[in-house]
Amino acid sequence: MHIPGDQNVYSQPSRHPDPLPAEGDRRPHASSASPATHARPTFKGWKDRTFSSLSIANKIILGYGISLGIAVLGTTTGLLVGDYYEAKARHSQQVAHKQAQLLSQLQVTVLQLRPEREFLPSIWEESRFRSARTESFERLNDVENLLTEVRASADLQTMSSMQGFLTGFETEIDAYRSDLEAIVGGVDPDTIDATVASQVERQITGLVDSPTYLRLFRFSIELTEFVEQAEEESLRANLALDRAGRLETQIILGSMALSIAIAGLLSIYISRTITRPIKQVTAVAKEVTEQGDFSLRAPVTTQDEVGVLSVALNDLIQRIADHTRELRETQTHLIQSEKMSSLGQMVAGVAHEINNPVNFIYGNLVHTRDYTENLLRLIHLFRDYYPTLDEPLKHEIEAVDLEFIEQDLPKLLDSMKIGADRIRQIVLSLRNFSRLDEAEMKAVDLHEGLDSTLLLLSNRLKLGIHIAKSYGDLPLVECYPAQINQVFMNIVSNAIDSLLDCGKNVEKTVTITTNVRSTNAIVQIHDNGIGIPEMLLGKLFDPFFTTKPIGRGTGLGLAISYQIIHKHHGEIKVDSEPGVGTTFSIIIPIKEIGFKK
Amino acid sequence: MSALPNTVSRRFILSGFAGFGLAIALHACGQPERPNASAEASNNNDAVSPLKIGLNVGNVPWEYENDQGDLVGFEVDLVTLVAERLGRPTEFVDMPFTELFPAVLSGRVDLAMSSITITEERMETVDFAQPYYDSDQSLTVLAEGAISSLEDMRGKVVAVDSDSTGDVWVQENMEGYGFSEIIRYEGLTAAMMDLKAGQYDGYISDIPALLYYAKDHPEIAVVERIPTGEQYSMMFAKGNPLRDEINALITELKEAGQMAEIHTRWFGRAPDANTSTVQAADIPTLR
Repeated sequence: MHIPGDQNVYSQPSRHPDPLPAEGDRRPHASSASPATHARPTFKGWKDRTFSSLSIANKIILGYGISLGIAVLGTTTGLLVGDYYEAKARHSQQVAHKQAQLLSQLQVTVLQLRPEREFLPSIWEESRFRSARTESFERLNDVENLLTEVRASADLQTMSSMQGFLTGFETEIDAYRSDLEAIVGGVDPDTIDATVASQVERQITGLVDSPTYLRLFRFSIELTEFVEQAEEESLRANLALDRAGRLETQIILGSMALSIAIAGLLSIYISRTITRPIKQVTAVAKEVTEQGDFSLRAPVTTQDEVGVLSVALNDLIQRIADHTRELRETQTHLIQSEKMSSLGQMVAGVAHEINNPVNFIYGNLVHTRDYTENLLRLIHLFRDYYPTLDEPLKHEIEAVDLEFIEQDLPKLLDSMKIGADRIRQIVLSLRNFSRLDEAEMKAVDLHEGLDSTLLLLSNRLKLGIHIAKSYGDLPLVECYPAQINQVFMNIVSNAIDSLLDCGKNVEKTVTITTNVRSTNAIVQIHDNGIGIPEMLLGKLFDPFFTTKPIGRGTGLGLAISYQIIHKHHGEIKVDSEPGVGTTFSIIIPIKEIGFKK
Repeated sequence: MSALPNTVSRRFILSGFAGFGLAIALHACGQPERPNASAEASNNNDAVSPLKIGLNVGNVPWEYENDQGDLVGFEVDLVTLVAERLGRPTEFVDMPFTELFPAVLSGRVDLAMSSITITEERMETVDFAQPYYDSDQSLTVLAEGAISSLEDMRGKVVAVDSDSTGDVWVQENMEGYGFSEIIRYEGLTAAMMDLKAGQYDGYISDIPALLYYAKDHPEIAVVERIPTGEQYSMMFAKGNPLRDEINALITELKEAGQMAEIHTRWFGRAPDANTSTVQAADIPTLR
């Protein structure tokens, strides 16, 4: 089991962004996103941002406010627009009506210019002639005043031809006035006599018959054309008035309909925006409860009450995930440490039992050597004093090959000493490893722990794995030695497994480096094996995660190691490059106060 | 419940609003325009509206009803060609000569034709296109009467068409020729009937009409041409842009020889080359 892990993630496990996955429901990370997460719409545009930041009550108020506003605005606009066009139509109607009136009046007045009727009956009576003349010119003045009035009121746009006509008309009136003036202007009513009277009579008749009078008559008749136009204009203004009224109604009805439609659509929209997030939150809550998938999160799409609810639910899920994870880790650790402690006790017992007999052997070997040397010296002395030996003795010396014994016996003793030494070493390592007698914090030499670990593993190292040690100057580190040794054991053992599994044609090496950085002791265990795929790095320290075949790995090694180092307030990190190798770094504070049990 | 994705439904709703609002806005904009639009249309001489021509029917050979009751004449032919080129149908309005002036000014007719002479006085109130006929006044009397010249008219009763250039000439020359009285008529037919009935002695009016009339009426005769150097043209309200448009068409008709054709048709001979019937002329202006 050689498993890398995400160092950043594990440096602060309480903020694990990827919560503990449920047992038996392990989803791949990419797809472990909640369904709600990818159904979540991308909120863009200020409208959405603004709208989503409103509370539900404000959303409802805003919605109905908008539709009500449109209704009011529409009605007001309708009334104003209607009034505007109505006023315009009424105005043009008034103008047209007034013009028609003026024109008719003008026509009637001009048609009353009848010199033969005005003057002929009165020609013989001085006073009547005088008043007839005054009246006639007054009438002419009236005509001219009316003409001016008409000209002033003429709407140039609607009656563009009128101005030219009026100019012509004015010319004719002037011509008539001067003709009339010429006839009756110079006549003194007091001195009027038969000659004058008949001359005036003739001239008046001539005037009536003249082109001047005829033209005036034609022009006044022609006024009818403009009266008709003015009446048409008035009619059109009437129609426009009707239309303005209709327009007003239409705008008001339209805006009412619009506001109703908006209110309807808004109510649908708002109820959706309110209920959808609630449903999503509910769905997430349900799924989390039913499946225990703590990777799910309720989408936070709004900043209203539902948004707050979502955030709170997410917090809750995170907390439960954290607690569940802690609980499971503690449980695992308990089981493991229970196992380890039984094993440690056994190992300690065995070591102790072996230790005494081995000490007998080892302790007596020195004396055995002394005695053997003494005996051999004694044999040599005998030979010197008794060079001639009896035949049976000589025969026996040859039979036992005394010469060989003399040579071989010290070697034999040496080899026994080596064997005994090794047994002592093994026993020492076992005791070192278990250290159950040292359940308290101790200042220990980590190098010693590393060495004893290597010794225990020496059997496996014989399979062609080279160990390169690069020990720095480490002070004694306060720790639980047995537990730290267990960590070394797990990691070195993983490194060996990895190297044995890899088919690389290089010298398989485990490099162990130690050094001190500020207040921390750092142990780095590097192997030049196959490395760990990146996708597995995140799961390395998960309990029961293993890449080994069933029966070989428990998936607990690194989890326990992680827990142990965590308990020491240290860090365990992994760097791996597939094909190049893996480095585990163990960082332990040299002096730690207030260890928890 | 949310069958539609949020974004889609929102876009749908918004576009719905926009469409509805736009419809209202367009409605509001479109509606009140109509009264004005129709007013403009009625004032505008747009392509389909008929060209209204004021005429004094009976003024031979310019415009009169032939035996079949059809309106014919030099000016009828001329204005028909003009209207064709304008792409507008014609509408002829019969009226007394004196009524032509106010009718043109009031816009009741677009133009007036009735062998109208261009005069300075008339140009004060109306506009003319370029002339198309050179004319003079003439004296017409009973063929078997004693009068054979203007000199014979001393102390006699003279008749004119009211407000015509003949009328103006007679008023100016009343003293000189010693006419005893002026009788005014409106229309040639009535004047001729009275002449034949002996109501007056001599009728002074434009020479072409009288010559034409005398052809078919041997009991009267044109006995003297009174040179006045008059020119006939079409009359328009002052400032009417139609004048320039039609003036250009008249030039075209003259250059194409169509004006000369009309002349030949009505007077039995081609016009003299230096007359305004052949030569394109400037638009007459006030001096």
